[in-house]
Amino acid sequence: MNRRARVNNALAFGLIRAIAIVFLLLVVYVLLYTVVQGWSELTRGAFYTSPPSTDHAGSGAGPQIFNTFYLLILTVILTVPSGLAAGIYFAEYAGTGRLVNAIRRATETLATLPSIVVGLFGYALFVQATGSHPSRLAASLALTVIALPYAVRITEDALRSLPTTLRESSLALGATRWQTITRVLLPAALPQLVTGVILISGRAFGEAAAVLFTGTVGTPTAYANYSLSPFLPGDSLAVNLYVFRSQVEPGTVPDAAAYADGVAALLILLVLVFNIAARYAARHAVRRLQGAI
Amino acid sequence: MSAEFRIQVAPEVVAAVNGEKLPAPAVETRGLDAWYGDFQSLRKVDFSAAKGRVTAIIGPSGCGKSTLLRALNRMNDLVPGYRTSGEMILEGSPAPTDPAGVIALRRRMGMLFQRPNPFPMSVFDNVAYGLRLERRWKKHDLDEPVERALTRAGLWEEVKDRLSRSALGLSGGQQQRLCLARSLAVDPQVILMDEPTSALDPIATLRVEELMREFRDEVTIIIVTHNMQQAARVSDVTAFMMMGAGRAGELVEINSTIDLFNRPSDRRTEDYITGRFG
Repeated sequence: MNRRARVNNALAFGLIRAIAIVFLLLVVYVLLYTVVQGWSELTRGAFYTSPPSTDHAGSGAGPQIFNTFYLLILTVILTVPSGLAAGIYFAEYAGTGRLVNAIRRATETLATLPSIVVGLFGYALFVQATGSHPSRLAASLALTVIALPYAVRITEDALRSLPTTLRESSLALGATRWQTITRVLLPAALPQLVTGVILISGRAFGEAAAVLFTGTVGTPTAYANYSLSPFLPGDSLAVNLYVFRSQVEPGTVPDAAAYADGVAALLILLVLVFNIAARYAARHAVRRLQGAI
Repeated sequence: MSAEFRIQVAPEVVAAVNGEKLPAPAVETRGLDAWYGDFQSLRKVDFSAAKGRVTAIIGPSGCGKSTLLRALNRMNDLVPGYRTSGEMILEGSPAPTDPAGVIALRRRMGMLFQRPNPFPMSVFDNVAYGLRLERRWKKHDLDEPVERALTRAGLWEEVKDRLSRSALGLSGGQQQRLCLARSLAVDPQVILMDEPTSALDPIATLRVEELMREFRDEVTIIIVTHNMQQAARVSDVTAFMMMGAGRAGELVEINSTIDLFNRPSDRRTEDYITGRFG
């Protein structure tokens, strides 16, 4: 190797490493800054149990924590089966017809829609057109519109990235295609599929714009219910953060900004904990399905 | 034809060629043509594999060896644009072509691939896979057939203490024998092997070759190999294939291994085995 190539190699490697370190520092900074800012709220017990209030100080985010997980679970329930089905169809059955390509392109377009558009579209379709009012179900459907293209794409890519010989050796043993998909391919793709669910969940956790129109009535109403009904409205932590940071009058709720900081810190910590827990659960499931090496 | 090229042949194969007639074919093709789209890959192939014997298919790269092998268990049907014509005969009757029939056919014909490809699951689940396809089993009832298949594949002693651990932790040679056990578990009549040792080291290769000889009379083996020594070591019968006009694969000669290597009846076979071509 000549000198020039060596220098270039060292430069490229140094640059890539520097960029990686910058990103790591950025993440750590955001995390620390947010948690430090919200610390006083995070350490206040009532913050987790009380409902938020739009006319006096001392709000809590209890119902919003509940509702965030409610929306998350409902969205995952709506997204995963249909996303899996469509992804399996594209990867294993569809081939490359003209119609299939059109559907594939439509899916990709859906993934690029701004979430505020999905929120308005969701409002028009799931709320106005059905003659109902904003609800958790409508919010979850809007979140599903956002998440579904990712679910389809992740499933398709996960199945396609598996070696052909896995498919062939199953079929060569006399398995049907469906047996091959359910008994070999999906278990083998499980780690990627779990990563997909985590990514989708991150979107559902943090999405404010889509939920704002479909899950709430769009005014700084503070929702306080722990009901399990999907037909009741409810705001998530992200919506609550937006409302208290920008909609509430500082005169009526003196601690609105501090409260919003607390909500932001809680949101970021929940996402973190959720990620770690999901990965841990996935590793456990993979070990059970695939055996320890 | 000259007989200057001598190659070592397994002693029992010599005995077999000298002493006994070959059994009736387990698998036969008559006038088999195969196309990938417009490209003809096989032309008028008359192949047969004697029951309970090892038949090797040799020939230069691209001559259609693997296509022929994969035509037998209809694996090529998965390739878009693939079609065949001609006859395929299994134990004297026409091979099925309907989807349910093809699945039944594949259960009777195991397949070993170039690279060991165990499923990413436990050793036990790999071997039990084929059995579980037909019906539900109580886990306990699977112990015996799984042990039997692993024993036949010469792997039981090595894996009996790690049945519940991932098959991917085994060595390459062990993985290939596990794939063999996976096929054996459903008691196939035929095992198709597509260069089964090309990814293995010499010792692991030897183990697999020994097993092939142990299955004599029990299982019909058809092995594609680009290693002529291997064909000579393990097979009773050898088929030599080559590209003909339009690069379509043709079967040049099929004969007892000892005759094919020592008294080739076709000029092209002789050129290939003496290294003048290939």
